[in-house]
Amino acid sequence: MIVIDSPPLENCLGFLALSSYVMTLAPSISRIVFPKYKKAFLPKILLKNRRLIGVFAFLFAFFHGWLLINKRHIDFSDFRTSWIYCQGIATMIIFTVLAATSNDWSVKALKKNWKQLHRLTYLAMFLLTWHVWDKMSGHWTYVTPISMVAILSTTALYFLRLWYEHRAEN
Amino acid sequence: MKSQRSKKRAISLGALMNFIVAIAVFGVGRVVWQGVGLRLSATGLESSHNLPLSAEAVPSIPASHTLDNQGTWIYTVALSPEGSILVSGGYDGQIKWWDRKTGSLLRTIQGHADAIESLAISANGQILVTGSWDNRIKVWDLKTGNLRRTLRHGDDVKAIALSANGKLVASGGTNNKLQIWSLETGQLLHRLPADTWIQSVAFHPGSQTVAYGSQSGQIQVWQLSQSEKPRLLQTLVGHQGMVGAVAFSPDGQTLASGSADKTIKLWNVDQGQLLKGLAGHIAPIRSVAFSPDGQTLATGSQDTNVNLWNVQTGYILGRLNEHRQAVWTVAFSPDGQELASGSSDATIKLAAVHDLAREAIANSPLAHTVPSERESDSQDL
Repeated sequence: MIVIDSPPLENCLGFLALSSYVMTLAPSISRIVFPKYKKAFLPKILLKNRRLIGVFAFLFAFFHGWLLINKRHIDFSDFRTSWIYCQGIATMIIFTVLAATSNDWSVKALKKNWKQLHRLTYLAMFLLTWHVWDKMSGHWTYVTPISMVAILSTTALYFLRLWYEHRAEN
Repeated sequence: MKSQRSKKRAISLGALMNFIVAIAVFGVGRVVWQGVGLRLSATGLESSHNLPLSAEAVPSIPASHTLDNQGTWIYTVALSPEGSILVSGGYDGQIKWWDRKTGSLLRTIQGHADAIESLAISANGQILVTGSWDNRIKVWDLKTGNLRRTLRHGDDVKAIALSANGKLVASGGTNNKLQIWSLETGQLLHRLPADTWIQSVAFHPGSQTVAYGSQSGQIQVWQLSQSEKPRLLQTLVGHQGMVGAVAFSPDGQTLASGSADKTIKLWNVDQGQLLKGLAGHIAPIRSVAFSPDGQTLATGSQDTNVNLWNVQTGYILGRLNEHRQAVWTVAFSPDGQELASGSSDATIKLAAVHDLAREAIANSPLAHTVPSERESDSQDL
C-alpha cells in the first residue's frame, strides 16, 4: 500500500524552490513551443520578473538545504557527503552563481559570457529530477508527485523546444 | 524620467539580491568550514591545545573486530540480550544482523526507505524496533526478521527506546513530540510536547520513566502511567547545545547525557541534580552507554573517538581511536566484555573492554582514592 505523508517545512521549501525554478524556465520554453501564447499575460509577467523569481528559487533552495543540514547533521568534512548529496550540492552551486549574476551590472560586466553562464540553468533541470527521485523514493509527501510532474513536464517541453529550434534551423 | 526611475530601482534591486546571495554563500561556507575545521582538529592537523587530555596520556583500546558496512554510514547498533547478535542500521535504510563472535553478516533487510537513525532490542530478545527518516517506526521479529508492525511518526524519527518490560516504545524526532506507543497493539498512547526537535530518548530500567534530550539542550524526564496522564518529573538544564544522547545507569539512579557542547553530564534522576560534568571530547557527543555493571560509561563523538569513563571518579579509562569519521553509536555487550561502536566511516568496531572495566572498579573511590596523573579531566560539580 502506498502511503503519502504530509510534507515537513524543508520539503515545502524545496517544493517552492522547484516551482520558482520551473517558472523561470516557463517563458523561454513556451515562447517556442506555444508561440500563440507568447503575448499572453502570464508568460509576459514571468519573463519580466524572471531574475527576481530566480533569486527566490535560490533563497528557497538555500533554506531547504540549511534546514536539512541541521536536521540530519550532514557532515561536509566527509567525502561521501559530497557524493550522496551531489545533485543537491551541484544545483545549489548553479543557483548561487545564477542568483549572484542576476543583475544589470553582471550582464554588462560579463557581456556575451553572461548568456553562456546562464545556460547552466538547463543543467539544473536534470539535476533536480535526479535529486527529487533519489531523495524521495519510497517516502513521498503530497508535494513529491506535483514536483515530479512539474519538472518532468518542463524537461519534456524543453526537449520539444530544442527539436523545434533544430527543425527551424534546417 | 520613468526610465531613470526604473533604472534606479533595478540597480537597488540588484544590490539587494547580491547582498542576500552574499549572506547565503557566507552561511553555506560557514557550515562547510566548520566541518573541515572539525576534521583538522580531530586528525591532529590543528594545534591540539584544546585537547583536555593528550592522546598519549590515555591508553588506547584496540578493536578486536571491524565489521565492514560496504561504504554506508552507520548510525545505530544494538546487541541482543544473549549477546550473540549485533544489529545495525545506517544511511541506506538497511537493517543488518551480524554474528558478534565471527563478525560475519547474517542477514540484510531493506527495512526503510531512508536512513535508520535509531534502533532498540527488547529485553526478552524477541523484538527489534527501528526508527527512520522515512517517518516510520517498524517493529520486527528479531529471530526471523519478519515485519510485525509499522507505526507512522509524522516526521524524521531520531530516537527510539523500549521500556524494560517491553510493552512501550518511545519515539522522538523532528515533529517536536515524544510519542509513546503500545508495542502490543501499535496504538499511540501519549504525545508529549517538546520545546524543539527530540534527539535522544531513554527508558528507566526499572520503572515507566522516560527521558529525552532535545535540540535546545534541555532534558525532560516524564513519569508514565496507565491510568493517569504522563507527569513531568524533571527538566534538566545545563547543556549549552543539543543533547544527542541520553542513557540511564542500570540501577536507574543516574542519567548520562552527551551534548553538542562537547561535554557529558551525569545527573541524579530523583533530585534532578547535576552530579558531574565530563570533558574529554573535542566535538559534539553523539552517543552514551553504561556498561551492564554501571561502573563504566562509553561515549562516542564526532571527534572520531570513543572514550571509556570511570563513572565514580569521572576519569578516562581508555580511548578507541580507530574510527576515521564521527562515531554515532556505542553499545556494550550484555556481559560487559565488549564494546561496539558504529561510525560514518562505514565500520562497526568491536573492542574488548573487560580489563578496563575491572580497572574502573579498582579505581573507584572506595578501593583507590588517589587518582593517577593522567586522570585529570573530570569536573566535579
